[in-house]
Amino acid sequence: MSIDVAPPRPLTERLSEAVRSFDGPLTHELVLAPGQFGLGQLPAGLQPTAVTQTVCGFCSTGCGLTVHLRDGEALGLTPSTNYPVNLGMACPKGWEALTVLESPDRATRPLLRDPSGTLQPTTWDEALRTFCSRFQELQNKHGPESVAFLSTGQIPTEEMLFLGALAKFGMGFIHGDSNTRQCMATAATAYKQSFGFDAPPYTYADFEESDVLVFVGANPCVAHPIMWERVLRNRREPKIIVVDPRRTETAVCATQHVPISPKSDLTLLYAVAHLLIKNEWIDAEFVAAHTSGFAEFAAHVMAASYEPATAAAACGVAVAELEQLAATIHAGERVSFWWTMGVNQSYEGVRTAQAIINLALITGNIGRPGTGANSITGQCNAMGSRMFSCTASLPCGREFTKEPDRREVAELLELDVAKIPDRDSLCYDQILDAVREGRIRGLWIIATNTAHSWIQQSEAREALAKLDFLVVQDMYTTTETAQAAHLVLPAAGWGEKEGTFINSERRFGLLKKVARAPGSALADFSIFRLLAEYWGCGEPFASWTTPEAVFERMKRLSAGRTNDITGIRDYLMLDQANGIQWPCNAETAAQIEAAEQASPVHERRLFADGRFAHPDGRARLLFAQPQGMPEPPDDSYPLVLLTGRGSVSQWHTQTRTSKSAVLRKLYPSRCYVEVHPDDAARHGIAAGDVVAVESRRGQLAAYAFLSSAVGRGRVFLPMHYAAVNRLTLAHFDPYSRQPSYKDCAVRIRRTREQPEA
Amino acid sequence: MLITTDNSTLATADQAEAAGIRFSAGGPALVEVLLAEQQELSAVERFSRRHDTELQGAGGHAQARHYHDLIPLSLPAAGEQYAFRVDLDACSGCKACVTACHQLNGLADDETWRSVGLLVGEKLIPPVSPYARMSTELPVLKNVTTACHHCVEPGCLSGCPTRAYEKDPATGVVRHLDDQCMGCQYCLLMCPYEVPQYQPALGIVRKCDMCRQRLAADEAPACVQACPNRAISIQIVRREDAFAAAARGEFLPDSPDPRHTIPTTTFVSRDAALSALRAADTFCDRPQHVHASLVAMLCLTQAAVGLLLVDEALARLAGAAWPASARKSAGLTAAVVGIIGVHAAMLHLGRPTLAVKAWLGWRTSWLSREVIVFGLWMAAVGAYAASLLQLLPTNYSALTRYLAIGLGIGGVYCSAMIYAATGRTWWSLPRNAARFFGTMFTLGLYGAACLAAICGSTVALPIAIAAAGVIAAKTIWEAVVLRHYFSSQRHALLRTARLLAGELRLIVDVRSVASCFAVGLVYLLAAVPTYAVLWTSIALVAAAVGELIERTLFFAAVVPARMPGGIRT
Repeated sequence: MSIDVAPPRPLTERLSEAVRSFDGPLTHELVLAPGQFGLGQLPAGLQPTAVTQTVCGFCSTGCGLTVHLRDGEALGLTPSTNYPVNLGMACPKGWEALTVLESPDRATRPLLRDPSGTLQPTTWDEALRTFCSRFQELQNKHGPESVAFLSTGQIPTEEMLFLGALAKFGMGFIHGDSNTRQCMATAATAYKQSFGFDAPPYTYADFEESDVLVFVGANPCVAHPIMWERVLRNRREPKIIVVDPRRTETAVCATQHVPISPKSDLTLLYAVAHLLIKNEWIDAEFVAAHTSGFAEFAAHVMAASYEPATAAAACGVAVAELEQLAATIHAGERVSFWWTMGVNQSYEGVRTAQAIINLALITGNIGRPGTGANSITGQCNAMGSRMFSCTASLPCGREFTKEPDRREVAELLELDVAKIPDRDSLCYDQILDAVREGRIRGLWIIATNTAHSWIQQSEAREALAKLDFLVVQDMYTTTETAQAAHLVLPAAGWGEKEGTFINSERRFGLLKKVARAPGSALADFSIFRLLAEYWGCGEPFASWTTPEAVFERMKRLSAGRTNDITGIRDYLMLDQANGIQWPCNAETAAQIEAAEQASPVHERRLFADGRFAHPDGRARLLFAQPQGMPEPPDDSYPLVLLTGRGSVSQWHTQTRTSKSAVLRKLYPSRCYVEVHPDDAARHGIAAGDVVAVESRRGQLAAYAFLSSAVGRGRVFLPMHYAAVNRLTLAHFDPYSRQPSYKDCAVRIRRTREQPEA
Repeated sequence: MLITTDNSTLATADQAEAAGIRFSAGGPALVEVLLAEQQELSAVERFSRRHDTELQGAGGHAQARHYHDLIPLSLPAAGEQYAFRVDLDACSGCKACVTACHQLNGLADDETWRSVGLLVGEKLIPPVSPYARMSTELPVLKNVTTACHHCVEPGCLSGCPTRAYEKDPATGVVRHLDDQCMGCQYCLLMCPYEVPQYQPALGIVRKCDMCRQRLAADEAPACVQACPNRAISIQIVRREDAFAAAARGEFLPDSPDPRHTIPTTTFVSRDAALSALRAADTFCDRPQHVHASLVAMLCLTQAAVGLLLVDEALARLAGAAWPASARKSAGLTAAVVGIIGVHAAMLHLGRPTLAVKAWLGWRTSWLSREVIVFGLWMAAVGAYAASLLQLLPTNYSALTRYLAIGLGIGGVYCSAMIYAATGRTWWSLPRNAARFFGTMFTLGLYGAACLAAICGSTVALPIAIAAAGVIAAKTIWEAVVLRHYFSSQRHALLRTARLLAGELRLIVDVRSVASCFAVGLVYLLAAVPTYAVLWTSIALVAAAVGELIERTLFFAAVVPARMPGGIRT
């Protein structure tokens, strides 16, 4: 069709047309031209000469992005139409992934704090020598436990393995943890205890194949919009249940929203199990054949406290709602359970996650399409950290404390077994405690922003300030943590290096190098190579020259394990297959190579045979008595503070997303607090007023956004504003050591202060 | 940043080496190798080939399989046009549409043609069981993605002085002709939906064109192809139906009245509670941008016309007490001030050289009409000044003076209509007329009083008393709007009153003080006539400052009806 032909106009019109410019240089700025490579029309000035596919580096959805290249360098990108994860879509962060690489505050040179206290540019040689001498000096003086590292879920798996191996097997570090402690530790621990391996069992196709989807503490509309895309593609008219104290965007779209009181999720889930068991709505055959601990679990949940009337009152919901929830789960042929940070970031998160796992197990909703107890991961490579980072455990589920495991790892990596610590590392919170107590004096932080993101911020910042030597390795010099460093190592970021990420559905995706790092910034991989050399422990890592070479070692470490990836031949195969889910042995690999695109072998789930990774093949039904929150609201601090993701356009501590002018337009520039209109009225607060939110630990100023969606007696703060963690209370799940960010007591009042940026 | 650092123990690498720690000799060389490696881009040679061969043959647009049913298969028939259709129940508020539009259209750094707002509220739901409470309130959130509504009667198009807008007769797409735009930004005021976006770097406005180039090639607009939830589509609507829907007030809750421009976007929801929702940013208003050059232009042209008018009245009423020297000064002053005023308006244009095209829109645009009328007025007042200076025969003096007065009043009326045409209550025609003609008389009278004092005329005092009366009345009338602070929530001026009593309070107070000065000095004029020139000069300055501030508030305190915004901070 053509739209440029206009009917003839009268003479007067035509005369005036003569002085109208339908064309010219400004019009040309926006002219589109047909794109090559099936890309459709693109701006004429942005036509690529080649394309390549990469995976996004923000969240764990792991979307495929087609990068438009000219002379090998990225010009722009579009979401990959055929990638099995995102099917041609991306959220705003993905669309802007290249934009945030160009920013004036990128770290372009190593920076060393001079005696006057300012960070001054220095050479790599000086920086690396300082790094090694300072850490070695501390180790010599105070012992190997006096230094530690804090890593990230944002770098490729190969770099994680290199970092862990270098620090622990090369440099003699004992302690090193990752910021995945803040997002996935609970899910990892829960799976490990229940299934015998940290194994999220699902594939994204399950979103489309469920009859009933139960989301607990998850808001995919905001946190994982592309997963929500998959939910909306479900053609089975599914029931969608959302368990969340807030009426979130996802809750609004649900068929049933269960607005429980904060931290009553464990009671609710046990009450649902109570109803399922009482009504004999369980899959007894599956329970008998594939689980252990059912009798004890049943005895636990049949207690009077989980009778519907008692439990409903404890959860702040109607009995009918609870009954409806259980009945819907029973009625569904394929029921899938999904959870995110509402569960993971809780002081009883592991048991809550396991309560969800238990519901899937006792109803036999696992291993079949559209089922599963499914943890949605946070960061792009949280799973890489869980599998290969050598922080909480040795690679592929092995333990530091088990001698055979150490020996295996030493053999596979051709190392001296004596180099592998036989002790578990301290966890993130314990490392910071040790810093405050002076037991740890040197800290190396890689691609995370502790001074912003860690719970009860004043304590975290106090710890960082106490360090004799703080090294921050990051893309940006302006993070709150980098500003506190003695030495800043400039890192290349996503798009400037190679490697693999593992997404929420266990898919290895390939990261491509499509942009030049600014100045003398180096890939974290190269920084690790240099440190091995400068430290004088380079010999065992002499062959670790490229990410792909390290990928070969990852394969070797995975052989015969639950996450076996020995069938993935190389990066090229990963690229050609649009990413590959673990496990993938030689047999699966052959099927993948033979299969058409979008065939089921590209979207696989675990436990179809009902065999779990415990030696007896059975999943464990684990449970505990629910505990009250340690700081419940009272007369002086009458409100519960909930924190969480604010908008799709913001990522965590905003080190990257604040660098895009467009993303900045899509989220509120200053901190806001969601307050129920009734609570606001009680405090004389009107829409748009600035309010002070105070806890026993600190206070901040924020604009009031009045919305009944948050519920009475609660307020909500988006975690992306640095001030938010001034308020939070440091408390942790005892099994996963994950911080519990979503429950502490606060109060509000009007203030004249400026809202926090 | 609260962290302090302690450097006392920081040793240098050299000290460490002195202490016996040895570094590998290969280090520095490896740094160079890795720095060079870092700058090599490997993706093309290693991986691009398979993508090239796979996709090059595909031709067209691979993404089409996701959107082929979201765009029409045919061109609109007569009386029809393309329109956006938004499924509010499908939109989850992810805003991918905004970024896709930005990227796929190659827009400037912070330029966005689509935005996403939020509607919030509660709906009553029936009890879940006979034993539950009778009903309960259920919070509702609805995200609203919105771009240009490609109106049947576009405000941008009718207001544009250079005819830089084109409504495509075949598709109904409202297109902006970038090379025709002079950057006056009047369309930003005329569009009720905040659609046109000014680009300071280019000096022009740009806006959504429904990706007309893509539609012409059977491809979906960027937003349509990028929505993960298929919430945006293109449909064909009958213009007649768009009129009927607008007449019924059907568009979107808490947004501008659709009868002004007949927007064609259809917002669809199965949710019956929709009409009770309100924008998330209600009552979160911020002062609007103030165009200083327009403040100056309005006040100066009005002062000039006022001076001519007062001069004419005094010549008729006061006879010899209004001497020829005063007439001459008044005429010359009016010409200089007025001509400066008209030219001040040019300063806010992005591309002032294109002002020569500003008359083109005279059929529909009050801005074009103002340009034409004030253009002619400059000629008339210039000729009048020339005749006063005897550069032209003096017998032209009366004719050119009457022309200048007539055209001047017409020009001020056009100015009032420019803002009244935007449909904003704060800028209604009666209000604008009161303001603009009020300024005319205020500054005309104070100016004349000053000239009379300089000429030693006895009429200075009566003129000044009249001036004081006008400015006092005007200032009180202006303050009366604050009563809307206590109006019902739906009153259009409540939000303006909140701004005036809130963030703009200081400026409002300065305005009142300036007026008091202007009035008080008239008392001094009566009491101590010896210093008449001083008193009248200061009074004129105070009145002028007061009027400039009034005009600043005119721009700053307007709260346009707008599409629902998100959480505003």
